[in-house]
Amino acid sequence: MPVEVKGLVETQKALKKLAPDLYDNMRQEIRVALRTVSNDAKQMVQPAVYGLYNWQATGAEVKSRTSRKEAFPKYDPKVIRKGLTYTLGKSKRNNAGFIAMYSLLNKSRAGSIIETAGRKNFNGDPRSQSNNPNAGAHFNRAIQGTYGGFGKVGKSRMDQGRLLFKAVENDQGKVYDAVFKAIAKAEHLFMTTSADDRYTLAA
Amino acid sequence: MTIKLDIVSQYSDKGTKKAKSDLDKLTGTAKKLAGAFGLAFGLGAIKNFAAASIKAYAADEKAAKSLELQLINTGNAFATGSVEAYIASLQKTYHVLDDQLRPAYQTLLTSTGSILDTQKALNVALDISAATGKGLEEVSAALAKGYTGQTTAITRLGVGIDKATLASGDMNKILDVLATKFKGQAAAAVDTYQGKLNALGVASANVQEIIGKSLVDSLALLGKDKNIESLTSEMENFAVQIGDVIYGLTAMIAKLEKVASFIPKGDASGYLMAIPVVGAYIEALGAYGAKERAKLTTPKSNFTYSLGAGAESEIAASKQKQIEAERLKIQKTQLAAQQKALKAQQDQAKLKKSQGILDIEQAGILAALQGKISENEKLRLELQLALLTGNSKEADRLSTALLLSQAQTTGLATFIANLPKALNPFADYPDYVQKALAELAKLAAAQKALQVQPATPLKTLEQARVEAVQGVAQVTGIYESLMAKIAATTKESTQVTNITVNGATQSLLDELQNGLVNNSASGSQSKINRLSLID
Repeated sequence: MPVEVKGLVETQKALKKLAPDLYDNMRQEIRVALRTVSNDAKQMVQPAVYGLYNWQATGAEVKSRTSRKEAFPKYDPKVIRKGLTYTLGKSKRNNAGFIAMYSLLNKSRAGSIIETAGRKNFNGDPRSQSNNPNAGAHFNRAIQGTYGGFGKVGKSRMDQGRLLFKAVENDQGKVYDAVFKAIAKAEHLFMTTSADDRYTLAA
Repeated sequence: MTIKLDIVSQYSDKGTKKAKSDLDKLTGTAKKLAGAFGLAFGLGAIKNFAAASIKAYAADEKAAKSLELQLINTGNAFATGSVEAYIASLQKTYHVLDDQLRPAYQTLLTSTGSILDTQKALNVALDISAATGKGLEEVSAALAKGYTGQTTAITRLGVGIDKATLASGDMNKILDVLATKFKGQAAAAVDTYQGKLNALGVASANVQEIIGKSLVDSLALLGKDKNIESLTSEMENFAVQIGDVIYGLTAMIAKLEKVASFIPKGDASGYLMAIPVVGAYIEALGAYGAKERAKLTTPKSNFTYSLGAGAESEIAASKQKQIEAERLKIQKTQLAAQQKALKAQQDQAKLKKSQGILDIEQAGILAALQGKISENEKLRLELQLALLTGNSKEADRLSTALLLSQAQTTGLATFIANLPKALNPFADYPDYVQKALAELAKLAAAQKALQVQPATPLKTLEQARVEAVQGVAQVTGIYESLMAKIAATTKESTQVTNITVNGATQSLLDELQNGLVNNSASGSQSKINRLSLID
């Protein structure tokens, strides 16, 4: 659940234009805060998912056995760790009208699977027409057995996951504090040190 | 797929504002458009429909006239009616508009000059049109060209006819091939969704034509110069006239009200009667209406009925029959209840029997009965089983048998208990010894009292007692060893055992002998025998 702010885009623009050093400092502080959480998430990555031995990456190239372009990704902890990162780039405006300013990312395919598998139907899809309808449930249980339950950062089902979300949950809001402190600090410094009267703090 | 967890986000209303602005503009424009076109559209639609209807009717009539003329020109004037009927039937059967059928028919007729050939070609054209999706006009034109020797158009229809057939130029042959190839296509198309839509279209077109015809006929009737403008003006004039009539009537009634002398209060007939001539007719009509209305409220039937002769006996018989039926019903119910109860008992017994199979206690008893047990134990177990299963008859029998068995067993035990102790012949020896000692003590006391010196020194009493006890112990040991030997030997024997008593003092023997002599003096045979045994 992202925290909604107002005027951050404008503040960033102003800082970037008028006080680039403050802007850089602020971003560096935010980067540190985000990196802490992403590193925590990286530490959660397990060397293997116990019970899914055939899922483990062996280094050999895997080709898709279906018409899909890419095969189902193998579990490679190295790749998953590499994919756990962050961004300070501004996203596009989404359908609801929000722009994400700072985000944590789980880029790898296997990492996304670990993050979200079983989030919707933990015990498998009840409408499954598969010849092996319990495969999904078995997969989810194996991941659950290795990684434990989901971490939640909001009430929605979409606000839960096993790596990033759990790391943020374990962080107990420190990352939010750090980010806001960095912004507030930069803003305060800008307001107090700026020679231009137009940007002084309002009463 | 990248999973993204947003830490900080900001709401951007830039796009929303633009969208809202655009929407507002669009809404405003739409409202204006609706306002501008609202009324005009409604009236316009009616006007357009009327115009289209008239136009459709005009086109239809024109096509019909054209076909009629063509029939006359080709020397088939006699068939005008039958051709119209044929086209109408085709329209109804294949749901193809007569607007399409007539031109097609006319095209083919121009080329063939024969009604029969035309109808055959039109049927084939309908099938080809339905199969290929090409228009009927196009297909019929191609076939018409074929009749004039130009078969290229038929090739372009894509009907897959071979060149040799086309080259022959024989349209009968070509039509036969085409008819075979596309047979039933038009009929099959009727059942498709498109066919149903076509049917709706045909119906709609017919409606339009009919309405158009009616409108035109109406115009012809109403309009002085047979146009809408004159009709409109006439209608307006008519409306003004009607308005004038209503106004005149109202004014007249108002004036009549003032003439209160001959108008009865609360009765509308007075007003009507006041109207000259027309009022009388209206009054008569009103009276007739009131009469008809009254008929509706009165009963329509005067039918009555009463009990005839013999009805009472029939009623009594009926009641009796009813009572009998009730009794039978009750009886049947009771019987059913009894049967139900009996069945319940049987079920319970069955259930109990079934329970017995699984009853652990019973299972234990049954298992015990399978083992090696005595007759008495068997009886006991069987009795327990009978009590458990509720078999009272068997339980009674078994209890009697068990009591009998117990009585027999108890009697045997009593008999054994009352048997004399004959097994140990030396069992009474200690008593004998004690008695002898007592006698000796008496003798010693008597001697002491008489102060008689014994001829030989007598042993003291203590010495005698010790010797006697030793002797008894020795005898007992011998006896025990003897019994052990007997027990060791399995077979019964009549072995004679010689018992030697050592260590008996002469005095003791003397005393014993004396005692025995005294006893033998009693004359008892047993004592005599005993004496002989000792000897």
